[in-house]
Amino acid sequence: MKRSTVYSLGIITAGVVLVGVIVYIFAGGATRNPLGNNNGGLSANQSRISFETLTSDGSPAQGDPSAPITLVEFGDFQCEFCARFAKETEPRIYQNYIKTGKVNMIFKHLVHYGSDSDLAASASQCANDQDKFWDYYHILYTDQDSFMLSHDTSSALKNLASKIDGLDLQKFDSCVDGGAYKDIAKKDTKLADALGFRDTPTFLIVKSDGSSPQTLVGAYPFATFKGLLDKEIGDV
Amino acid sequence: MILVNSLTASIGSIKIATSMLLNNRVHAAIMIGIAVAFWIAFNVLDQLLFFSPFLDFYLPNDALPTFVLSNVTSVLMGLVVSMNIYILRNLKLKKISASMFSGTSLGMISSACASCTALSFLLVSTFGVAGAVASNLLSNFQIPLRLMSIGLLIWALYSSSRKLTASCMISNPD
Repeated sequence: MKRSTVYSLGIITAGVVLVGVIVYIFAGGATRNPLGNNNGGLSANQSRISFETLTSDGSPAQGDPSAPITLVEFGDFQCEFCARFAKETEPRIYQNYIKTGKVNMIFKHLVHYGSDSDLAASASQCANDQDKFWDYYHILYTDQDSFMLSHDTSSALKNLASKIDGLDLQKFDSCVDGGAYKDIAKKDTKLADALGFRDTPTFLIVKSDGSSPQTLVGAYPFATFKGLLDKEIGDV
Repeated sequence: MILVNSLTASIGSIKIATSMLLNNRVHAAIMIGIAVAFWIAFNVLDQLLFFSPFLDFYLPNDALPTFVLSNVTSVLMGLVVSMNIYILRNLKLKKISASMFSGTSLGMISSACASCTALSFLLVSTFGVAGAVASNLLSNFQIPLRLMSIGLLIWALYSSSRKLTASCMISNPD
């Protein structure tokens, strides 16, 4: 075989392998079942992480707690794909599923981006104390650069909080300065690690009895969430 | 004036080389195949294209600039690689010149450079905080890096097309 033919075949094969690997990594691992099998809820070796652990430990939540489906987001306030989800997809999920009582949404911190992420997580919990977590969530993701590029992250986070209507800033500032939630990010991240979640954003869609959990890894479009949520709601 | 003339000549040379390539079915197919492969890879990494649980594609506002740039990169990548294969298969080169390889390899590196901005997703989960720092850096310079890679690919395309069109020139007996 001529050297040029070998070279041509090599390039084409390399291209095909490259695309295959990428598609395998992302498409193959996109949906998983971290809590057990689809029919029976928790598996034996993962039973220590129960549905209650996910839903009843003071994590920020929106929607009806008795909704048939719970959507848990594991995110980091410095992650750009989480920001895309918060800007593009979450408002549509809120409008169509949370507001209508079909879905209850919970946020958990999965931080990999260093101390600024820990600080943002802690500040968001301070906003949650005043039932303003979701306002702050949208502000942080919409204006990510303002605290990510700031030399004084704490002040930047406080400035962003001042945009929230009805937030007691004095209370918020003292909560942030006092480090009331300085370990929340580590605690949530530990839980995510135990579930095998490494990437942000990761979503867990689970029925209210803890059965049929499904995982989505990535900033999926609304259409994908709609497909999965409609299927799960139909199955309840 | 000299600059305009040389620019026109360069564009002309790229046009001729591209039409030579597209007139050959095999090389046109290679070009389209490579462009499509890179388009898929870029859009999967940019989290615009999903295969599971459903085939889905969406284009949010924040992704528009990178989407346009990755389309350009994919097409250029297809052209550069296919053109280099064409040169290797059809021209009787006594030896493969270093410049041709540098053109191809630069094109490859530059496209990898463009995709590494999208690879931040993998970097963070694989390398933890160090990966996150690298990822932040890549995200902040995503657009300039992609523009730089397009610049390198255009240069690679120009050098390949010059090689291709120069081989067709009839030397002046004088």
